[in-house]
Amino acid sequence: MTPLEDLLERYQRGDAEAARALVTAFSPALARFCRLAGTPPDQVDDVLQEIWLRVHQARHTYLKGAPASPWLYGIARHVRVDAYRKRRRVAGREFATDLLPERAAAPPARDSKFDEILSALPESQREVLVMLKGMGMSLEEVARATGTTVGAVKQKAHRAYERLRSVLSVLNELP
Amino acid sequence: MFGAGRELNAAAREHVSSCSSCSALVETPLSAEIQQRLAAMVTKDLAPVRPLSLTRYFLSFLACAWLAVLTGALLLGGAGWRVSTLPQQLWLIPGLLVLAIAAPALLARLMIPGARVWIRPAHLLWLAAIWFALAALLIYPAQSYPAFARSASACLLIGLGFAAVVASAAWLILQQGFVTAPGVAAITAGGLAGTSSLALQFIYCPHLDSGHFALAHLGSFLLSIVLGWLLLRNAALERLRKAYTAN
Repeated sequence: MTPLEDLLERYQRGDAEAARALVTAFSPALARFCRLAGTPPDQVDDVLQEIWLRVHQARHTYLKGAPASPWLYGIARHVRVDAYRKRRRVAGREFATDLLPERAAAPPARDSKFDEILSALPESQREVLVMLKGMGMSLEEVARATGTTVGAVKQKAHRAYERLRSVLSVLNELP
Repeated sequence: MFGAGRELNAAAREHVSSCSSCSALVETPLSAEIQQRLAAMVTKDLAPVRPLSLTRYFLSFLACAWLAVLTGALLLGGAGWRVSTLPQQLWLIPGLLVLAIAAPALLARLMIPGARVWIRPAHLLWLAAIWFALAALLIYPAQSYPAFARSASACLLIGLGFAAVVASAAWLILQQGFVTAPGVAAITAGGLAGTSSLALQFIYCPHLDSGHFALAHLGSFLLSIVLGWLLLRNAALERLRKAYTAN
C-alpha cells in the first residue's frame, strides 16, 4: 500500500490528521497538474479548491486497495475540464465594446517557452503528456484516470510526441 | 516527474537547477495559507464514510434491467418467446446476456473515478448493434403484411417506454457515485435500457419478420442509446453547471 492509498483509507474513516496530510502532500502536485495541463495561473487556486471539494464529496468512491493516483487525478481532471468549459462559456458570452480601453501594458506573455510549446498540443494530447511525463504516472494509471484504454493513451502520447517534434524543429530553425 | 512523492533523477535535478522555467514548474506554487485553508475545508465536519461497493451497484443495475423485463413479460405475455425459432433464440440470447451483464458492470465502474475499463462502452454498444443488425438480416425472414407500420410503431413505443423507466432508474443509481464521464455514463445507461427493451420485445412480440425486428426492436435499442446520450448527458452537465455555480 502506498502512502497515498493509506491516507485515503484513513480519510474515509474520518481521520482528520490523514485528511490534513493528504492536502499538504498532494496539493502542490495537483496545482502543478492543473498548471501544466493549461489552467491559467491566476485560476489554479480556485480550481484546486474545487478539486478538494469534489474529492471530499466523492471520498466514499475510493475503493480499498485500488491505485489511488488514478482516482485522485480522475477527479482533478474532471474538475479541470469543467473549469475549462466554464471559461469557454464565459468567453463566448463576452463581446467587444466599440471603444476598447487603452492597454496599460503589453499583453501578458506566456509564462515560459515550455508553456508555449505545450500549448501547441490539442487539449487531450496535452493532458495525457502531462500525466505521463509531468506527473510520472504509468500508462495504466493514465488510462484509468482518463477513463480510457492503455492503447488509446499510447496513441495519444505518440501523436503528442510527433507534434512536439515538429514544433521543436520549427523553433530550432528560427533565428 | 513532478508528481508528489516521485523524485527527480540526477540528470533532471541538474537541469532544473540551471533552468529557471523548469525550476518554476518544480517549485511548489502554493502558499502555506492556501494549503491551510484547503485542509480546513476538508476537515470541517469530517465524518467516516462507507466505501462504495462495486458488487452492490452492479447488482442494483442488473436488478433494474431484469425487473423491468420481468414486469413487462408479466404484463404483456410471452407470445414472442413461444413462436421464436431455435436459431433466433441461439442468436439473440447470448447477445442479450452479454449486454445484460457487461452494461451493469460498466455502469458500476463509471461511478468510480479512475476505475479500470476493459472495453469502451461505445465499442461494446457498436458491436452489439452490429450483432443484432446481422440477426435482422440473417435470422429473421422478410415478410409483408397490412398492419406493418401500426404494429411496428406500437412495439417501438412500448420498448421505448420500458427503456425510459430503466434509464431513469439507472441514472438515479449513478448519482450515488462520482461520474467523471457523463457522456459515457449516459450512453451506457441508454444501452442498458435498450437491452431491457430488446429482451422484453423478444419475449412478448410475436412479429418475427426482419422489417419489424429492424424497425421496432433494433430501433428501440438504438434510440434508447441516442436518447440516453442526448437527455441524460445534458441532465448531468446541467447538474454540474449548477453545482459549479453554487460553489
